[in-house]
This record gives sequence, C-alpha cells and structure tokens, in this order.
Amino acid sequence: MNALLIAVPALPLAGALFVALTGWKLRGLSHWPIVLTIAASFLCSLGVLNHVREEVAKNQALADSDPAKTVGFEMVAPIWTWLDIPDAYQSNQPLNTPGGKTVTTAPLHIDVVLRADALTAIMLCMVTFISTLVAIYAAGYMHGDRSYWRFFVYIGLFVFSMTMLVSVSNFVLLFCFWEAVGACSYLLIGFWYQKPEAAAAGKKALLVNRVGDFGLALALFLIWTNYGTLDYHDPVEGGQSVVAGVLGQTRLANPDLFVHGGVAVAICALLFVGCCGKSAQFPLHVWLPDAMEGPTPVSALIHAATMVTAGVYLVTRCTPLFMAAGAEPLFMVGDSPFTAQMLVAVIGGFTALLAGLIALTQTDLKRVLAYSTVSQLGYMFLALGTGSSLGIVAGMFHLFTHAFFKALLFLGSGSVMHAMGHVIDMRQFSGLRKIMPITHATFLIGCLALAGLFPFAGFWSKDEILASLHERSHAHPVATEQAALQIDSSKQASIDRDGYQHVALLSEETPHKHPHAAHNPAFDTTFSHGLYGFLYYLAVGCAGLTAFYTFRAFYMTFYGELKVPAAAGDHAHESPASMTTPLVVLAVCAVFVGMVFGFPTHAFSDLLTQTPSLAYKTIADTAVEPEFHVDVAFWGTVVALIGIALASYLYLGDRKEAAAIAKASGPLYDLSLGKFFIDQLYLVVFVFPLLVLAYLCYAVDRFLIDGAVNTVGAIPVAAGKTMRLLQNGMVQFYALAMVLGLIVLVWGIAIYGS
Amino acid sequence: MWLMLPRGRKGGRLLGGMLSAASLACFGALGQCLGTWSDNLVFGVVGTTAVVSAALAVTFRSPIYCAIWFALSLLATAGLFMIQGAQFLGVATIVVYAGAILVTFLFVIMLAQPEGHAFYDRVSWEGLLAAVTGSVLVGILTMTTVAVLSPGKDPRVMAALAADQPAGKILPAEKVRGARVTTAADGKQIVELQTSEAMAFEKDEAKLKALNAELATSLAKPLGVAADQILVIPDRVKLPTERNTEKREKNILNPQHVAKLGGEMFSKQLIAVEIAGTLLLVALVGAIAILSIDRSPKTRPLDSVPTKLGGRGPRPVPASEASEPELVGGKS
Amino acid sequence: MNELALLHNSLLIGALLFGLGMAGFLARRNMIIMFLCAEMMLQGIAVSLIAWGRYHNDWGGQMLVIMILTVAACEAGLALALIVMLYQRTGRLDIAAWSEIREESLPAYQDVELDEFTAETQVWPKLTTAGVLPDVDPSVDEPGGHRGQL
Repeated sequence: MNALLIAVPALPLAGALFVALTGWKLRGLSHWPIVLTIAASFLCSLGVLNHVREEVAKNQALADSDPAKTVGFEMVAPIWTWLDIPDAYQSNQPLNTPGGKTVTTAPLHIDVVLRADALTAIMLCMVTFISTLVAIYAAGYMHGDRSYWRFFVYIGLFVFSMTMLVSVSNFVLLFCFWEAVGACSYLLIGFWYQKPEAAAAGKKALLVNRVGDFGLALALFLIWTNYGTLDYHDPVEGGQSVVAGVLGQTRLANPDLFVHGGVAVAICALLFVGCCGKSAQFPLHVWLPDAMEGPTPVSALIHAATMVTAGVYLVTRCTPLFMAAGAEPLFMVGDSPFTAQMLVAVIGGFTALLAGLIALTQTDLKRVLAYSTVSQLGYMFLALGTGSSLGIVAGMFHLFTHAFFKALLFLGSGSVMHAMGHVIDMRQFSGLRKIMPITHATFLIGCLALAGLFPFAGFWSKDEILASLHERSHAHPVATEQAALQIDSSKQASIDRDGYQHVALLSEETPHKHPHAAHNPAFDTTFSHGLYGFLYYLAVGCAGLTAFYTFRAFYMTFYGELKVPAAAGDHAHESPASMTTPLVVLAVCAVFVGMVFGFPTHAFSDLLTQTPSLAYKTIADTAVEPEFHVDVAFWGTVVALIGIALASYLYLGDRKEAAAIAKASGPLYDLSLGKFFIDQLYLVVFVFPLLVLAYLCYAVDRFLIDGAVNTVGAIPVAAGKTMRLLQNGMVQFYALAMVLGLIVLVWGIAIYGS
Repeated sequence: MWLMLPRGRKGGRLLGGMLSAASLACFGALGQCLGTWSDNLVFGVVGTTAVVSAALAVTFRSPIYCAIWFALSLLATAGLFMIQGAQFLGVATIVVYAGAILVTFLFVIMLAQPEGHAFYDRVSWEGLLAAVTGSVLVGILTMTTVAVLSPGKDPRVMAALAADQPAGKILPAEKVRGARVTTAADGKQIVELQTSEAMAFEKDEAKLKALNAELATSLAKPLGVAADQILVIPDRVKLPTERNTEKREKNILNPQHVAKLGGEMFSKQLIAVEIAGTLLLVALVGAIAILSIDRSPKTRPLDSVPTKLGGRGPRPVPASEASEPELVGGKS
Repeated sequence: MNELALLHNSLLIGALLFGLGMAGFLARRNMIIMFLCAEMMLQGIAVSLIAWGRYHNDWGGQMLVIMILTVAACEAGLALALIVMLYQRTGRLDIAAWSEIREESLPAYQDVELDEFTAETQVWPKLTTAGVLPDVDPSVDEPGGHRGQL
C-alpha cells in the first residue's frame, strides 16, 4: 500500500521531468505524459482511499471494543531521511515521548515520510481527479500555444507539489511544498510573461504570499521551540526521532501533552496568517483576482480547486492545535475571550461578505469567479472557525464540492474565453447560449451548485456550514454548561493553579459538552453565541449574494442578444471535445457529489472524522447527532432563490434597472466596483514607502558603496593610465629605461657593495 | 657631448668639441703613471685616439663619417689590446671588424642611403637626456675605479707613518697604497689603510693591535683628537693581489702568445668555442632567412610617422631596389 | 710597467668607450649608427676584460673577448639584415618609424621642429682621383657626379 501512496506524487513528477527533458521534441504531444501520469496518480489515490476506508472500518470495529485504542487511522510510508542533527533541540522544558517519558534534548530529524489518513486520501483523490480533467481540458485550451510543453511541465510539477503538500508528515516538508505550489502558481500566473499584466500578477501573488508564509514560518518556529519536533506522526520504527509527533497518536490519546496557553494561541494565529495568504483571505486576498491573468485551466486547477484550499487543509490538519489553544483569549471583548477559532471564523465571514460584495459589480467573468472563490473560501474558514466536529466536516465538505463546481465554472468561463478570442469582459458578449450549448448547460449546473440550490452539490455543503453555525450559536444552552461547571468546580480549581487548561480531562468528565464553555469558569457563552449567531446570519446573507452574482454573470454571458466581440472573429463556436468532456464530467459531479457523499449518506463525514486529527476525543466529543435542520435549509434556499430572482429580474431583459440601481447607489457601487480600494490602500500604505526605501537603498548602493568600490578600482586605472605613457614605442626610450636601471644598480654596488 | 650631437641647428659643435676636449684632458689627469715615459706616451696616444674617434663616431651626422671614425676607434682599441699584450685579439679585432663588419656597414650604408642628409641624421632623440645618462654612468664607473684602484693618501697619515718608521717598522710607508681618514657617527676618527699584499693584516690580530697602538699615538696630534678616539682599519677593501711579473711573463705575456691562447681555447674553453661556432652558424642561417621572407616590398607600404620636415615621407620603393637584399644576403 | 696603473687607465678608457657608445645609442636615430654605437659599447667591455685578464694573469678575459667578437659578428649579420629589410619597408633608416609596439592611443613620436630647414647637400668623403676619370653623363648636373652611377 505504501508503494501506491508514494506513486501518487511520484507519477506526476516523473511525467513533468519527462516532458521537461523531451518537451522541445514532443511539442504538440506534450500533454500525453502529463495526462496519463496524473490519471494514473488518480487511480493510485483511489487505491489509497479504498485502503484507508477498509482500515478505518477495521479500526472502528476495534475501537468499539477497546476505547483506549489509537484514534483514527493513518498509514505511514517512510522514504528517506533528509536531515538529522542530533541534539539540535535543548530544552529546560521537558519534551514528551511516546513511551510516556520526558527528555530534554531532541534531534532535528526530518524524515521524508508520506502519511495517509482519511483527510489526506480525500484531498489526494480530489486533487488528482480535478487535475486529470483540467489537464485534458488544457490540451484543448492551450492548443497551439508557443510554450505548450512548458505549461504541462508546470502542471505536472504542481500536481506533484500539491499531492506532496497534503501527504507529507512534517511541518518543514509541508512548508517546502507550500512554497513549491506557490512557485508553480507563480510560474503559471506569469505563464504568458510577455504580457505585462501577467508578469505583474505573478509578482503580486508571490509577494502577498510571502506575508502569509512569514506567519507560517513563525508558527513553525514556535512549534519547534515548544514541541521539540516538527513531525506530525509519532516516531516510526528505525527512526531517530524520540519525541512524540505534534499530531501523533500519543498526544491525541492524551491531549494534556499539547502545549497550551498563550503560545498555543500564537501558534494558531500565525498558522492562520499563513493560511490567509495561501487561501486568499482578507487582508491578503488581493492576489487571487489578479492571478486570473494566468491561463484559465490554471485558474480552475490552482486558483479555485486545489492550491487555494491548502489553507483550509492546514487548519483542518492542525485542529488539535486549535483545540489546545482552547479558550485562551487572543484578546478580550469585555469579559469574554476572543479565541483563535473565533478569529478564523470572523476573518472567514468577513472575507466571504467582502468578496461577495465586490463580485456583485465586476464585469470580468473570471474575476467574478475569483471573488466568488475568495468568498467560498471564507465560507470554509467560517465553518472551520466553529471549532466543532460538525463545522470542520462541513468546511472540508464544502472544500470538496466547491472544487468540482468552481472548477466547472472556471473551465466553462475558459470555454467562453476560448470562443471569444480571449475576451473575458462580460459587457462585450452576451447571448452565447445558442452558439455554445454544452458550455451553457454545464455552466448553468455550476451556477446552481454554487448558488446552493437543492439538490446540487453546493446545497449540501452550504447547508452543513449553516447548520454548524446555527448549532454553534444555539446548541449549548447556558444552563447546561453552568451545571457542568458546577460539577467540576473543585477539580477545576486545582487544575487552574498550574496554569494549564486541561481540555481533555474535563471534557471526559462532562461528555457532550462544548469544550470552550467547559473549562473556564469565567466563560460567558453569551458572547460566543452572539458572535456565531451573527456569523450565521451573515453566512445566510452571503448565500444570497452568491446566488445573485453567480446568476448575474450567467445571464450577462449566455442570455440577451447574441453579441460577439470583434476579437472572436467569425469563428465563435462551441469548444472542442477535449474541453467539453471535462465540463460534462464535472457537471455530473457537481450535481451528484453532494447527494452521494453528503448528508443523505454521511459517507464523507464518516470517513473524515476518522482522521486522527479529527478523531480524538476533544473534537469528537463536539460531534452532535447529525440532523437535517429544515429551517436552516429552508432559509438558505429561500435566500438563494431571492438572489436568483433578483438577478433574473435585473439582468434578463434590457438591464435598464441594473444601471439605474448602480447610479442610485452611487458611492456604494463605486466601492464595490473598486474592490473596496484595498489595492490602492496597500499601494499607499506599503508599496509607496517601500519604493521610497528601495530608491534610498539604491542611491546608497549606487553612490556610496559603488563609489567606494569604484574609487578603489580607479587607482590602478589611473596608475595604468600614467604608466602607459611610458609605452611610447620608441626603442631608445626602452633602452634608456634599461640604462637608468643599470645606473641605479651600479651606483648601489659602488656605494654599498664595498 | 650634447652640444656635439646633431640637433638640427647650427652652432654649438665647436663649443661642444672644446668642452669635450677639456673634459678629456681632465680624464687624462686621472690616469696613473705606467712607468717609463714611452709607455705613457704610447698609451696616452692610443687611448686618446680611441676615445676621441669614438666621440666623433657618435656625434657625426653622416653615417659614412660615423663608420670611418668608428673604424679609427677600432684601430685604436686594437692598439690598446696590443699594449695589454693581447696581440691575437688586436689583430682579430682589426680583421673581424675592419675587414668584415665595417665593410658590411659600408655596403648597407650605400645600399640604404637616402639622398642627402636624412632629417633623422640631423636630429637626435632626447640628446641631452642621453648625454646626461651616459655621463652619469661614466662618472659612476670612473669614481668606482678611482676609489678602488687609486685611493688618495692622506698626508697626515703618511707623515705620521714616515715619522714612525724608524721606531715602529710595523708598516713601512712605501707599502701603503692609500690612506683615508673619515669621521664615524660617534665622533671616532677612522683611519682606513690600503696596504700592499705583502702586509696581509686581515688575519694577524697581534700585528693589528700593534699598528693601532703605534698609529693612534702618533696621529693624535695631527688629527687633533685623543688617541682612544682613533681606529685604524687596514685593508677594508680587498684589492686583488698583484701577481708578480715573472709569473705573468710565463703565462699571459708569453712570447708564444698565440700558441698559448690556442692551447687555452681548445683545451679549457672548448665548449665556449663550440658554442661560439654554433652561434655563428645559426646567425648565418638567420640572416639569410630574414632577408628571404619578404621579398616584395610593396606588400606593406607603411609609414604612420607623420613627417613635418617637408616631403620626406614614405618613399615608394622602386622595383629595382627590390633586388638589393640579395647582395647582402649573399654577403652574410 | 705598473700593472695596477695599466689596469686603472684601461678601465677608464673602457668606461669612456662604453658611456659614449651608450649615449650615442640613446641619442642617434639612424639605425646603422645605433648599431655602431652598440658595437662601441662592446669594445669598451672588451678593453676592460682584457685589462682584467692581464692583471689577474688569466686567459678568461681574452676568451670572453673572443666570445664578444663572435657575438658581435653574429649581431652584425642579423642586425644589418634586419636594417635592410626595415629600410625596404619604409624607405628610411629612422628608428622612429618603428614604434608600433606603443600603446594604441598614444601618438607616435613627434619630431621636433627644426629652426631652419635647408636641404643640405650631401658631403661625401673626397677621394683622390686615381686612374682614368669615368665618363660622366653631362646631363646629370650634380655635385659629386659619381653618385649618379650608384
């Protein structure tokens, strides 16, 4: 089974290397190695998923009989040891080992270990499946491009990096591949580097991501200094590592071993900064819309379905850390703590709202979809921020379904772009449903899924998110929690003295109680309930926004009079089969993944909750009996329908009212159209001072340092210029020089020789 | 010398000649007596001829005259060789130079003589600098020679030695070739004596002490310092020892001079002779090769030197002259 | 004969010949005369060598002079061949015509301006007439008519 797991990233890498070496010869055939290797990789992923499922089933059977058994299931495939520095970590704070002992030194030991659990397996399948379809699509879309093979090399490298990102078992390696996908993203955004906008967008993506990556790096440093290891897993057979893995079974079985307190909060907050960068959350969301300068398959694959969800993946993966941070406040709001998870939720919610508002007025089809992506990612973080099993599963499920329908929408818009001669401004074309029937139909399915209408995929995942928020804001009556607190007050006092907040211990004693509420006597749930309640309504509102801007774009593109831009020429036509086939496949997925894996079957959540990170007691205890909230689903659907109806009213027809409303709303409309002027704000606050500083440094370098160096250089030049005057070509002059030397010699001998 | 060099303007040559003669006379004054008056006369005449004709050879404008004066200088040099007892070399010099090289010169001069005086014969390159440089070199060489071979005799020291002679007998005055008094940095008076080879003070400590004691007391008064302030150092400059005349007459002044030289050449110095012969052969081949490589004079008409001197720019070489090198090549 | 005095005087003569030759070598621009001057320097050395040889009662001095003679002969052959070749190239015996090894941007040696330039007539050595006077072409009206036959 390990070979299968290793094959998942290895195959795309091999394909990419092969194309990189032979691409100049393969040219138009360059897509074949990539498509085949990624497809093979997908099959391997399915194998891994299947294996994980079987093992999970076995494991659950065991766990039922023996509660002390390991939590969740993971398979570990060591490859080689990259780095081994003995005693790199010296601590006065004892480190935990799996054997229950404590040590004070630990090696810096980086095993390249692939590790598959349910979360990884799902991500692998999703990534490789979408990648396969996008690669097939790109074969049609990129046909005839000058750098055809280069594109596929990058795609292969990206798939390798992404699969590695989700399957490595070490924070350092995670960081490496985190950067690797960023690099692939940079290369692919700037794929048409001759185009100034594309080059600038690539640069912007890279720089904005640096901010997030800086936070992630800091989080990693904190993890190293507090845990003494960077591995997820516990030490494997034959490895030199002794310390229990950060997310390993030892710690999961005994959550006391996690670092608590302010450090834990800092780790979580910094991790989330990294996630904000990669997943384009406010305030680092500005790069994603610009990234649409890249080829559309890239937008679909990297900037909608896979890479941007790495942040969501990371937060999910690190759930135990967030749980360990517990109710330790980031800051206080009145008497109530504002926790790291609330930060995630608030940022997610705010981003969802902001991006949704911006998407209302954009006229660039891909940009609408980009803001939609930002908004949906915000949704996912919103769900993760609830900190409950339900919310995390909902967030991951939304990630899963969103990958299908957003890839579908992007590929559809790519199809439109392909037909329209690379024009993507919706004002320049309309009524395309007649000439592009397949694209129209699949795009409609994508829109319905994104809007979250029953029974499309988006409905199920959106409903789960709304339900989790609803649950979080209502499910735990204050009275119950206080009752629980009273029961444990004696124990609580003794624990509080050592400054730790023993989440697990308490939650064991008070099963099915919300952990946040449980361990802090001063905890006032009014604030958290109020906050999540507010976020719930915000999320419902965002659902309406989503439905509106999605259908606005849909109507503007496919309805109204047939209008084709000049750039399309007279050959506006439906895209070739290589492009429409992935569209159809994705459309089918967009219809059914929600039903097949979602609430009706619980297949997704049953599997995902057996991920070790999500299966341990603290988080598992937050799970509630899944139930279908009719009122939540009802309101979500109603709001979406209102959005669609409004869009239909405004954009089906002559669209006069839309212009009138735009005019009437005045500055608000401008605010949305100008993307809330965040780019301009950054320009003034960050870019301009940095430019001034850069020019200052340039001046210092150019005049001060170069001046000094040039002066040193000028001395021999001046000496040479003087000396060369001696080389006047006169034989007698040379003879004279010799004679002068002779005179000096003879004179010296005459004076000092005797 | 500088005045005598061709400078492209009139005048000065007479003055230069007179000055040169004066300086030559000063030089002559440095000469030492060789013994008999006839010896002196012969050496003086031959030496003066050599130097004067050399000076004229250097300063005359016309290459022809230069060559002729050079020939005369060579003859005088050959005469010097004769005086030194190197008869074979004297003859050889005349034969080789006058008979071969000089004739070759004249050939070349005739073959390569532009019409009239070339301006470059009438203008010298940095004449003053050259003259000064040459003078400095000659000055240094002369000073060294004189300082080593004829140090002065300080009269006070000589008087003291002469006065001391009957008592001391340590250093007879006639054995002293030079005596010099210098003042050291610490105020001591250093008496440097140059003695003949017979004295050999360098290894005899007792003799040296006695000499120091003797001379110090007798020199204290004429030098005007205390006796302990005087240090006598004999033979600081190691002169080459004079070999006696009989030895010399058996060897280098042997009547069978040529036979001796030949014996020396072909026994001890055989390798040198072989090398010289090889050198001649190689030079012969080389000279022919040089003149064979570029027979077409029109291949590279060059003259990058701007001439301000009225129309003596690059002269197109007439085709008839192209055959000239063959003559010289044949000569070599 | 005073050997030391002989050495002394010979060395002085040698130094003078050497110095004169050197000054001439530095100052003259005719390649042939420069070459003559070099020979004169060799003569100065030869005089000194022979004097030292006699003083030391050693044949080495004379042997070295023989070497010098040989080298001078070789030098004469080669140098004169070179001079002829160079003359063929430029039509001049001026050493200043050959200054190509100077730095590229430096100007060539500039001749000093002469105060007055009068085309001096070549003064040839006067040879006493011997034998029958050769037939001189009356149309060639030049002083020293024998030059016409060169």
